[in-house]
Amino acid sequence: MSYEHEDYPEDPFPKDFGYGAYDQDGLDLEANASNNSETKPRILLMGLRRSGKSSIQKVVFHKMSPNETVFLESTSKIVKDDINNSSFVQFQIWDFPGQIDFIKPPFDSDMIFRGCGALVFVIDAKDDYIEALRKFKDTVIEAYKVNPHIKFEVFIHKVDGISDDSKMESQRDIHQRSSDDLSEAGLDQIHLSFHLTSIYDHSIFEAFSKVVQKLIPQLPTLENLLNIFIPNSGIEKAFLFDVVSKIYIATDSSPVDMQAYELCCDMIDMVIDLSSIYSSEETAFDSGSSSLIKLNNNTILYMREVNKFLALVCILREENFNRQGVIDYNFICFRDAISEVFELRLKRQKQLQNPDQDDDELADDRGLTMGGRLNHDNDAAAVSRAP
Amino acid sequence: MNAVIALCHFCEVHGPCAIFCTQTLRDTKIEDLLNSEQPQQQQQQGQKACSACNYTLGRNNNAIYSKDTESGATFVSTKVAALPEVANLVKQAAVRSLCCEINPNRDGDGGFVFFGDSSRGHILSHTFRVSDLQSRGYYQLFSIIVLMKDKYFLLNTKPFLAEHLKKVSTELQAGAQRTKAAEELNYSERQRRLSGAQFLMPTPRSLIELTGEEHVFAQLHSHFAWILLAGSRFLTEHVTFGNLPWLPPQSSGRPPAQRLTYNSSTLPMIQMYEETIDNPEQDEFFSLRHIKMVVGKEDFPIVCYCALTGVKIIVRGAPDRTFQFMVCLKKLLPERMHNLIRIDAQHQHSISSEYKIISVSNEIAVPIASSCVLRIDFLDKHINGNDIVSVKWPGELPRKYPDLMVKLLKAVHAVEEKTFTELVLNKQTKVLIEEWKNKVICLNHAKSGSVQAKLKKVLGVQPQDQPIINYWSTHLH
Repeated sequence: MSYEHEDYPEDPFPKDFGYGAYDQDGLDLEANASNNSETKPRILLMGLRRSGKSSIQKVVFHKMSPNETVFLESTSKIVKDDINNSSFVQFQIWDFPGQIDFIKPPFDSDMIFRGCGALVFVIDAKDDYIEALRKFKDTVIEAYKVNPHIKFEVFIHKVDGISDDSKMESQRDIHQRSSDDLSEAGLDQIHLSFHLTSIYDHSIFEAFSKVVQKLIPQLPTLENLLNIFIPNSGIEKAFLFDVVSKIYIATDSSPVDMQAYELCCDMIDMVIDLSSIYSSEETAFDSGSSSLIKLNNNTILYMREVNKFLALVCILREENFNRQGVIDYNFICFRDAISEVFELRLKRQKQLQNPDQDDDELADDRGLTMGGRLNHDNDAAAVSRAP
Repeated sequence: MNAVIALCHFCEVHGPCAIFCTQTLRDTKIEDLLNSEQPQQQQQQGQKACSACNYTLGRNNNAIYSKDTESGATFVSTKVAALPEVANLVKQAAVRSLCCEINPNRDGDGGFVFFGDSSRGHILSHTFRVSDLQSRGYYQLFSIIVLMKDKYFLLNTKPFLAEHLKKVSTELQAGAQRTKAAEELNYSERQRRLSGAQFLMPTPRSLIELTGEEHVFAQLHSHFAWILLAGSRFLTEHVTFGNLPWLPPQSSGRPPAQRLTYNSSTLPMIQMYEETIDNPEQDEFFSLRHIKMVVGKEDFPIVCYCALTGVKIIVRGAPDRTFQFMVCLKKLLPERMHNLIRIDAQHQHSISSEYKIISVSNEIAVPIASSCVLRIDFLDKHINGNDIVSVKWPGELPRKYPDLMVKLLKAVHAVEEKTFTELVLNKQTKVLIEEWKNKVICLNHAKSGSVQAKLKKVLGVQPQDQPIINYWSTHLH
């Protein structure tokens, strides 16, 4: 055994705050994995202890029943959770222990905030939030210093059981105080988003949807596709869902009605639950999956599979559904368009890995494909709608 | 062992911190530490009052220490490590051991993880869960860390450390399990479920409450101090000059504890090892008579006289042969002077040092016998299983033996005459030694010469006893 100095390189503590930084001994497999995770956007869940960070993560991404979250243990380390079930929704969630102050040395805030897409700060609405706001301010200032592109999202959490008035009041108050704090620190340009959330209803899914959407670079394209698809098919509202988490990754530009979103969530739950009775867990959702629910107020819910992880749920009037063939045809066009966006993304990722390829060619390719498909979409709809 | 052993805890309210650090001090005086302790406490106000982040010993004093009389090392347990730079390292190590370096296969329960580097110290961390019905997830997270500067020493002693840290953690877990079972009897799962989230107590409970063990921290101190002490003997390094070293023969089959001079009654883990040495049956065998049998009738008074009056005795021979002999010689000195005895010294320097009775193995060079050095060499010959020894001392015995020695010789003679057994001899030896120890202490208190002379008369001290008095009084303050 050589007694020479063969220690780890002297990194600032604790580098990646995980094992990644320490496998420097040519463990290629690990190195690749960490490379991959680096390209994935990161969502940080921060906030004071017992504000509900782990509960949110468990309920949204692990289908834990909200009642069971009472029994969750306190988080003692940063829990990193890879969400990569679909090609669009690919990110890492880092769940932080609330007891530890990560923005102070010896923690390396550079490693934490660099490559981070969004910072979700959870504030317990039932608790006194003065201390939470102080920590939030420090965190924002530090994070902005490291990475000005971070999106700051504030979840005013546990609002179930609070009257609507006081909900609004506390949101206004928190908004006011945090904006004051930031302008005091000379950071007026930071944009904060506020969400009232609870794990006992769909508000947490809705809020998380908005967080995730901001991290999807293809969002404008997806919204455009939906905007074209909807009027041409006589649909009132459509959501593109990530089936596993029930997060919607895109919707058309008409305003989102909370009740409509809840209906669509429940529909997905119902379809998955029902089909898992008659098939195995893996095949509960496949290319054949579709469902149609008629409500008693002349409304129809229509769900179709887009790809393995995505589903499109539409809300439309019953009288518009008499031409189901048109809707189905338009849907197929829409699905193809989505899969093309998806392929393009794959290509781009490959190109990033082999940077020798010509960038311009790809960019052209993309524009052409999108244009062609959309035109085609329009034509088809126009043709079939002609009397 | 130059290490810090710390118990760390992930507090539900305040996050990770070290709550109980035990470390070895050699040159630092405890008094200096106690004085300098006040400015170090820069914790948050809340954390200071938190029962889970702090420890209590049940009494007023907040530090606990024990001393190894033989090596002069002191083992101190405090909340924050005594030296500021060490305290900082421990703090960082505590955070890492609880918050990142967790063995993922064991899910934070009972695994061992090694991490660290030369600037932040090398750490062996053992994370485990202690059940607690009132905390979130029904358990609290604890870890024991061993922090060392010497990476290879730490890695080489890992098997030993792991075994004993595991024992400590299992003990704590078992205690908590008992508490949990008792609590469950009073307050069932269903009651808890029906009462909703109210059962989550806002104040975290301390380890004392969790284990139901009032002296849990004192026990931890004894465990940690023992690990530090025994760990240093688990592995010794030899410096060799010249040719490539061959491995020296293992000094004995005994565990390292053979040289411990500890009060075994308070330290359960040491007791286990010391049983092999101190069990009464063997004790009976190792009486002064053993010395007489080894050195022979003629030389026995010489050995006794030298041991009692502080002539340096050097015993040389294979450690397993000299060991019993040394244990017997120990009986000739009061307990407070046992630090003058060094069994199986590993280094030549030990000979020239303060030790009065010292045993070395054959390969160590020793000075020749003189009027102030008595040499006892265990020769390699065996006749009928008895040791053959040569005793060399050019000095001369006084015509009148000291009173204590006369009585001892008489007692040994009585055993040979079968007047009483060796067990009685051992007790008699002890009584005589204690009697003279007290006489010496008493004389020490006397200030002026006239008072001393009077006292001597009362105590029956004769001029021939003076060498013993001179020798003992310098060591029995």
